[in-house]
Amino acid sequence: MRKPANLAYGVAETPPPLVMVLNGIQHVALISAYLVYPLLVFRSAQLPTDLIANLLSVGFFVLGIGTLLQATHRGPVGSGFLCPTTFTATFIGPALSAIKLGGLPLLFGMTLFSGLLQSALSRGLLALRPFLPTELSGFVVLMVGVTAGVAGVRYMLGAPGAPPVSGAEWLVASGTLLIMAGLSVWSTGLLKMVCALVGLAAGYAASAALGLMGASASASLAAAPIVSLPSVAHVEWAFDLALVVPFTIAAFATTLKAMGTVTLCQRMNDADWVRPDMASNRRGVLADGIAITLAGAAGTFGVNSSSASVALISATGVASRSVAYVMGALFIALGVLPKLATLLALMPRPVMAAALIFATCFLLVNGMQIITSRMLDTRKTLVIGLAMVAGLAVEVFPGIVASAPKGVAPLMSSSLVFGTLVALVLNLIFRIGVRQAVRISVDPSGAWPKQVDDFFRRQGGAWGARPDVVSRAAFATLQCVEAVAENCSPRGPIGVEAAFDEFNLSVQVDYEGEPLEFPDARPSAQEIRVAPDGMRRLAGFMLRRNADRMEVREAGGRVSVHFHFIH
Amino acid sequence: MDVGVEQLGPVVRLAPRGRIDSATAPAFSDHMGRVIADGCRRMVVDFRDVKYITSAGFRALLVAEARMREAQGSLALCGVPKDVLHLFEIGAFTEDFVILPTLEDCVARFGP
Repeated sequence: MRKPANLAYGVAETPPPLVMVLNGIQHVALISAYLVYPLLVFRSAQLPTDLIANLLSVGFFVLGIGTLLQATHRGPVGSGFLCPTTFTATFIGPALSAIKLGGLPLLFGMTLFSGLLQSALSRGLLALRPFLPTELSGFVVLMVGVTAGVAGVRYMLGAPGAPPVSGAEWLVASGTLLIMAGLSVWSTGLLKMVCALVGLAAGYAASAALGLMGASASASLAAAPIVSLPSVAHVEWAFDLALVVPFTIAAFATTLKAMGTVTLCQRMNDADWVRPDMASNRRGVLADGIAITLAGAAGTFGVNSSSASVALISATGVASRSVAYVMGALFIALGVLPKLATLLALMPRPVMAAALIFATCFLLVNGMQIITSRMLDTRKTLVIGLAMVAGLAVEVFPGIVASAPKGVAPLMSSSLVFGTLVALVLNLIFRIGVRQAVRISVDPSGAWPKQVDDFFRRQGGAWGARPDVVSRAAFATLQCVEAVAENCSPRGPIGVEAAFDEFNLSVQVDYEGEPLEFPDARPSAQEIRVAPDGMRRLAGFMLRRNADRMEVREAGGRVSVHFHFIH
Repeated sequence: MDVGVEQLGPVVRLAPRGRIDSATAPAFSDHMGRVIADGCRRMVVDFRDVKYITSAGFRALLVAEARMREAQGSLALCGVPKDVLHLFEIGAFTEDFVILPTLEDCVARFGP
């Protein structure tokens, strides 16, 4: 692994203590804003303040342990990167359903189930890819945003038994949102990174000044001890088949997110990065799965790897895993400060609504960006469009659930669950007939480079494939045909066949002639310049490194070189 | 092959367009050779309009780089698109050449 020039401290380096501590504090401050997710769920369940504070304190412990586990770089668990753990909006919908159906025991039991499922999924990540295309993971992020945003607005406006929203509350909500948004847009550096936390603090101050916190809030704060270990006396676990689908979808969503975040870390830490390291992804997803399992076991809300923290690492240039050790210690320290947890548990509803709406903006747009990172053909448009309509129908017309058949009703418990189910089923159906293979014949003495170039441009567009993968396949073909034409005395035309099935792009180059060699080591610059076989060996070396997998077969004087590219 | 040539004080900017492969590499190599033979000691190859470069193209670049070094000159590359930079990476050429984002970065690197 070679450290890129834009990183001040790479993953294996140890910065000076002050740099480590300040970066650790920054990350903890950033992640603390996402406490609003479990807070929304616990407040919706109308739990007492001291219990919520305890649940948050337990949550801090899980965040600390999760961050430390992910940074582990020996053994089968942990990607080894600074890739912090945070509470995730993915669990909001399923958690609200669990609380409604069976209270905290069911929430903890099903979260534990999700964690165990993700841990199992970590073993078979490549096999999952046909069922989880990029646009589907983008759709999940989008629907998580819809779920979180609607839940936040519902909590602000329509929680059962809640008093109507006062003028002061509207003022605090809009002021808090304005500060968060304003800092995010117009400030730079540290202030920009912790804009949500600054907004929260301003919201708290405004709420206290306008009398929105109330005497009971002061009493709860005063009653909380300064230092104390959180209790796990509240922990019980329950399981309900009716919630298997929602929490399975949550597990798939957190698995995809963890894969994406670990891949981001790989790319950020290695100047020579070419493609995802699946072994590192597996260990990272497993660490994430164990953290979710721990959240369920210890009795708190679901967690996931934090992509916002990875963005912060990119901004600061400090990617050292030593920062994870500082973060682990800080989170555990926060876990033994009940007064802080109580203060968070007392977050006024307009402040919470503002924070949720702010976070929702990024989830919605991030989801849309992921969906549109691929060329969307008719199939994909219908999968995403129909799934979105299905999900939104559940949000806009909750009465649909009552009129649905008994077995289907639990699947419509949230827009995220129902929309994702529709997307998964349609994706499977529309895969029928997708594999397409096209063949051309190339005259090695003719104008073949343009012919090959045009072929891939045409086919890539027809398939809706990713431009970067098509580019790699086109290069493989150009370089291979060039090397064969120059060095292998081909007899007759060279055949080129390309096949695409959404998740793999394969190219076969076949000809009658001498075989090419594909060395593991590159010839030296001197050898490339002057040796008779220098360029040929360079071509073979580059072809081997460019493809995700390649095979060479020879039979009856006909050589066939196969290149496989993961799409 | 279409190769734009621009004189910017002591620096010569070469801007090849399209593919640099076995068909076009000889012409590309000739352009660079002529510029060096004419006494240029600071050459920038601007890759912004290059689509692909194969082993033949890399060989041409290595030959030009060696000739520049022998002549006590400097060669740098700029504007390399992401897909083409990937080819430099898989060919393990990122240490063999000075690759910078812009022409101005290259000129600054050469110094006075």
